[in-house]
Amino acid sequence: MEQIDQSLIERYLANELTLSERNAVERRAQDDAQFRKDFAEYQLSIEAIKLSERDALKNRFRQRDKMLDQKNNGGRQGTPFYMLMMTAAAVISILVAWYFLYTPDRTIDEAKNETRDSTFLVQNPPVVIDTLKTNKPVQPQNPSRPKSVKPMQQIFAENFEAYKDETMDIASRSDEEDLTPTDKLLLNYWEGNYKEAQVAFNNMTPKDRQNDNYRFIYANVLMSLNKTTEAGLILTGVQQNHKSIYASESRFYLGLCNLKAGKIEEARKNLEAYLDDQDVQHKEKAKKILAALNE
Amino acid sequence: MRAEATLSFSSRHSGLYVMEKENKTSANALLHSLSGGNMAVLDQLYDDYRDDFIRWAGQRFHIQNRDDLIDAWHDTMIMFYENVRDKKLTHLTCEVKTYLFTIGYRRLLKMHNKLKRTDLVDEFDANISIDESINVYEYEEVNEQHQTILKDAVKELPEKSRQILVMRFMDGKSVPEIMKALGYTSENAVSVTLSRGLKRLKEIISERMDAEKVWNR
Repeated sequence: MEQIDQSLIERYLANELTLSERNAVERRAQDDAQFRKDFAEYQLSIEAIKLSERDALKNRFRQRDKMLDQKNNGGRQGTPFYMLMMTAAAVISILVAWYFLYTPDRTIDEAKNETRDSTFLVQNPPVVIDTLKTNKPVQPQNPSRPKSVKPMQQIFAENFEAYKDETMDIASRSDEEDLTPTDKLLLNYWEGNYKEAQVAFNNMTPKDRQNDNYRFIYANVLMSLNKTTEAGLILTGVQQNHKSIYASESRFYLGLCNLKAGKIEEARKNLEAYLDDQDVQHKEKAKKILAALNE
Repeated sequence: MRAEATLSFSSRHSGLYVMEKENKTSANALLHSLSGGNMAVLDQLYDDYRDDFIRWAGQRFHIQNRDDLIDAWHDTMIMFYENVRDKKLTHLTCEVKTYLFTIGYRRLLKMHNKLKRTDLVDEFDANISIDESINVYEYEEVNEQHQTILKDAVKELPEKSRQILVMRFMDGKSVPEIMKALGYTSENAVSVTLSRGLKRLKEIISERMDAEKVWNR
């Protein structure tokens, strides 16, 4: 097949021909048997690329399924969530009924008519939000929540730094021309280009994306991009599989994700377990965070 | 072949709401973002509607096997993505959730029709109005034997060639764009790798098809 024909077909397949040029190609495919065969084979090649991309997408979705299922099961532990909620509601109702009906020295009326001296009561100022000046929905003010959430985020911000060691530096390994998506992940990660690193990870082969060492790095990328929920799920997997050379370090980062999500007990547990390992990088930080949590 | 209208993302879905807010962009811009290769948009849509779809489709089609429903959701998201990527879908006349469920509905209906369960159409239409004007591009199924040959052929290409072919023919990128994205120093280098890769792929497929005696085209 002549080079010019291949170039023409390439442009046809890339939708870069004008209508008249397209018609000319199609006419030629009708008249010229050899051209028709080549043309059909090129079309099939495009179909092959499409199918292979679909496979890559399916693998991507399977990974998300794992994360979503893990997330869903995390809070429910096999029992349907609504059943747990119903049980909790029933228990609370019984306790309330018992309290009012069977406590001899207290009646329902007494419970309702508690008189208190209002002299020393500190009242919250009325909530007045000018909704004309903001598009945000009016949120009820809750004075206790920000107190617990903000310090956790501060602790996260003060202590999070993407994990790096010299083995990750690929600068001396390859010319830029030959970089694979995996190399790009490492290079961009090393240089702190986290968005590019995220793109590179998504371009890696499904097999590489399943590799726990790369998954650990990817979790750090996500944390750097403030996507700590997804990062936490990945780190949990890395932790449980225990195949990665970063399995021990993953505990520290998982602890940070827990902190960001306000899961203080889980964070404490992970950081304590992290300190059990002698050969880890962020011992001092972990101790500092634990001290802050115990204050 | 273009589905037109306005896309209104539901702010009930917090993930999308946050994404929309953070990017300070309209829902149509999200479609644009996805067509530009921002896969985070696809991930977010996948996560936000997967469980709703599984619940809804499981009840509607009386499907007990969760894997079947997950497969249907995968196909749905793939079809949606391909529509957006190929610029067949640039904006919508309905909510994105409705659009996705319409694709899923048709996918499941096809599966059920194979099992001769056509009674489900009325049941579905009676409860949820499917707008027939919503243009849903559906891909044609290539037979399984061909699929294996075609996919295996792509795996034999060098990674760089495969990447360039995908960018050129799937993502619709021009040679200069590919040159820039992959850090090539000349357009000629990209064109040569592209042509060689495509030619090699064609040869592999042709050889395999001949060997399998399934070449009927």
